[in-house]
Amino acid sequence: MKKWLFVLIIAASAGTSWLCVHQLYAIQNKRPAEEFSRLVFLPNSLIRAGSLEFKGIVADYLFLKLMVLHGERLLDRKELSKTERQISYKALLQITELDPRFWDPYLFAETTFPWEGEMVAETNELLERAVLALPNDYRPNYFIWFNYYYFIKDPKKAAPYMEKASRMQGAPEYFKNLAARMRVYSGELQAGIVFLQQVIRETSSASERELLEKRLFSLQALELLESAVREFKKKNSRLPADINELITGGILKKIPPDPYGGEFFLMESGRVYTTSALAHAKKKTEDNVPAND
Amino acid sequence: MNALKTIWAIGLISFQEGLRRRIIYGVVLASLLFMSFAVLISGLFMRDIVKIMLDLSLSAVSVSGLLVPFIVGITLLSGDMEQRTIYTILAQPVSRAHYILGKYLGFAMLTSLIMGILTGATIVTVWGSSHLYAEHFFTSLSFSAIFLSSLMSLLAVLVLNSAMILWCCVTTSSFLATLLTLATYLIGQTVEDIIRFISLHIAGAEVSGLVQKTVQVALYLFPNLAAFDFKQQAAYGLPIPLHEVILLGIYGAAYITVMLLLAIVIFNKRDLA
Repeated sequence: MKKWLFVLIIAASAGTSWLCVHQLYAIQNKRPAEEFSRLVFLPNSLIRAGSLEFKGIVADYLFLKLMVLHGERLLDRKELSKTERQISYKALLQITELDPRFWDPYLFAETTFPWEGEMVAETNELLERAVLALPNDYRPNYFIWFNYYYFIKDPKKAAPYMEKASRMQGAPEYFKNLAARMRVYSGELQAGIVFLQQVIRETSSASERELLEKRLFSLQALELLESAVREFKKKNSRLPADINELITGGILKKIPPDPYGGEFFLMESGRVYTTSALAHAKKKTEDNVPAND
Repeated sequence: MNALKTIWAIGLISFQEGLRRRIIYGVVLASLLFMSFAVLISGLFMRDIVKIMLDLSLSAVSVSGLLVPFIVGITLLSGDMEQRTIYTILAQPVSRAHYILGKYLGFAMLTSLIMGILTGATIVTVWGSSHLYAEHFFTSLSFSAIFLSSLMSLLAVLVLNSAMILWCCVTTSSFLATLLTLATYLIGQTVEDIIRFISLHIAGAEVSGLVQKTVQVALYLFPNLAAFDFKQQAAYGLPIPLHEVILLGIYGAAYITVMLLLAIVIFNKRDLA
């Protein structure tokens, strides 16, 4: 083959490939967002047997797909539908069935479902699996305690889990105090702050940390306001008429901002709430994922 | 003494023949690239970075080891028959039993070399990654667990190699021998799970007595390869009980002996003309 023809063919092919890459990228971008792996819908026993000696790697793959799906929704600020949350939960059951010691799926469930989808009972059910698979790890008991205490508001059911967690090796020292205070002090905000601080310390992903820190700042702001209300009441023998009276009354210099963009307000009971309900305004997605029943 | 020398000589030739297959270098290279990829992808996960890295790397070790029974071993054995080089070998003072044992030794050496290199690469990968990621991600890391897990995977492939040799003696078709080896592998990896599923007695999923008996028979007939899988223990740095390792060593050695003896009996009766 002549040299010039050879160079021409190479150049033309390289150019075509370069153009195709751009076109393909554009097409891919138009495609629907990440979907659930079809493997999630297979029966547990089948996926377990079918994974042969590669159960760990199959669990990793399923979890990566789930993280990408949730990550895309987070970036698009689109809330997952109820069905999608249920499929996510099913995926986590599959993953932890394949590899019960895999901690990331449990943590993912804990930091996602109760905060967004109110699937607290399901999260606890998943965490009970972690309690069995990781008998020397304090975190599963600690998370179940948090869920009962913070979300379900059932300190009686929560207390044994904190007591169990506080006795385990590696558990932070303050767990013992927390376990002791559990039955006498209803500090939901403190519990939330302690929980989030713990999770943030263990989180390596910058984007996830940012999300958790925002939630932590909002709880700290609420805690600051509620303690200011208590101080105001102690000083004036009455509750402030509204949140701004904390400034005019000389308790606070300014009202901290709500990181979610809402405004804090005072209830008649003396509790402080926010108009944002500690969440950004979210775009609802259509419930378009097929159910697996 | 002479018999051992003959077996060693055939083993060495088979090993060298295997090394001439370029596919081995391709798979080893692909596995090494896969391990590098494991370092990058593990960073996408939240905490279990070492677990992800070891899941991927130890799977690469297993897959590369399986290359010998599924591809290299079968093509070498059937190649000897098809290209009639077996006549040249058996024309020497070499018995058929020596030939089978020598071939097995060669494949065992080849498998050990491939899996040894990749286990070394796994250890280097994890050690190298400990400089990339924070120290606390590596608290569960146990090099002895990685080594033992790979050793058990090697033993599983050695068991499968012996089954592959038996199937090659049973049938003249290399395609059929590959299928039978694949079936042995699949049954060996799943039979325990199937028995566990049957023993659950799930309502609506009742299994007939005949199927139960068949599965029980399969458990004793086919090698229980799933029992050799310690990848998850290695991924979490959990201790691998010594008595289990010893038991698997005895089980593996016994199974290999039975397979090779059967192969020798069948090969001795086979008409090679």
